[in-house]
Amino acid sequence: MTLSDAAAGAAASGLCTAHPSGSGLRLDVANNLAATALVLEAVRDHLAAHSVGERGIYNSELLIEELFTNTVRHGYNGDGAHRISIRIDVAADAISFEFDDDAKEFDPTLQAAPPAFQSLEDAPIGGLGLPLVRKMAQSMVYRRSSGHNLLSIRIANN
Amino acid sequence: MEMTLSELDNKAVRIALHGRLDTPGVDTIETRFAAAAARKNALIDLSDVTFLASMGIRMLLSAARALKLSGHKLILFGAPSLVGETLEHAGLSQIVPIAPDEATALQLLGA
Repeated sequence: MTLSDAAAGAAASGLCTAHPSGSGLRLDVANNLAATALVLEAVRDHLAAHSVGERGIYNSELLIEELFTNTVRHGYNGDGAHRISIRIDVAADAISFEFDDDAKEFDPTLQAAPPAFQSLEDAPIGGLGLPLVRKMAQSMVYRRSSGHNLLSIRIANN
Repeated sequence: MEMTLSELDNKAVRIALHGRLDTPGVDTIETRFAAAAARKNALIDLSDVTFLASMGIRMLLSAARALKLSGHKLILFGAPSLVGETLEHAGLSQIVPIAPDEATALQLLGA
């Protein structure tokens, strides 16, 4: 290992640290888009180790990619260094997620579903992520507490 | 994320995408993809795409819109089942033609 490898490793572990416990996993993640791939890798490994199937892993990755990048881009909007906590729990029939961040208040359950696309010319180019999350979610509960956004979501484990 | 470009004839190009169309994947390919999917009909081969997130859909939608404005078509084909589900959930099939395979995509191009 060279010095620069060691530095890169240290920087990478600062971007995302994983705390597994049984069927659960807690990720402590920097508000940095560069952490996205590390987060998804940790999630993939944890779910595969707990016998989650291909669809469950795919949908979990999609949900986390959309919500994490939304929070980093729009919640913090480049405003200083913060930590985002993501908890994942695997049960026989469902996978649960809890997101905890101190970004600006945002309740995704209040976002109206976008209207169906009418034509290519009129289609909105952004805002496609949350509708995908809502399609997958069996339940989605939001609360704001002590300056934190707390979001619980459950999807099918199939 | 990689892409392979094949000129089909002087009216169409096939662009095969390989890998994950997520935030990092789109970052690596977006500029080249936008340059390739321009000025000609574009058939986008998704058969080797393993993951599709909203940033990827946004990239496909932007190219489809730009092509339509210049009188061309963008057609998606070959999406693996989970990627196809994401396209369906995003409602893309209402505005962008999605074909199961290349032969069907070519037929849609002629239609």
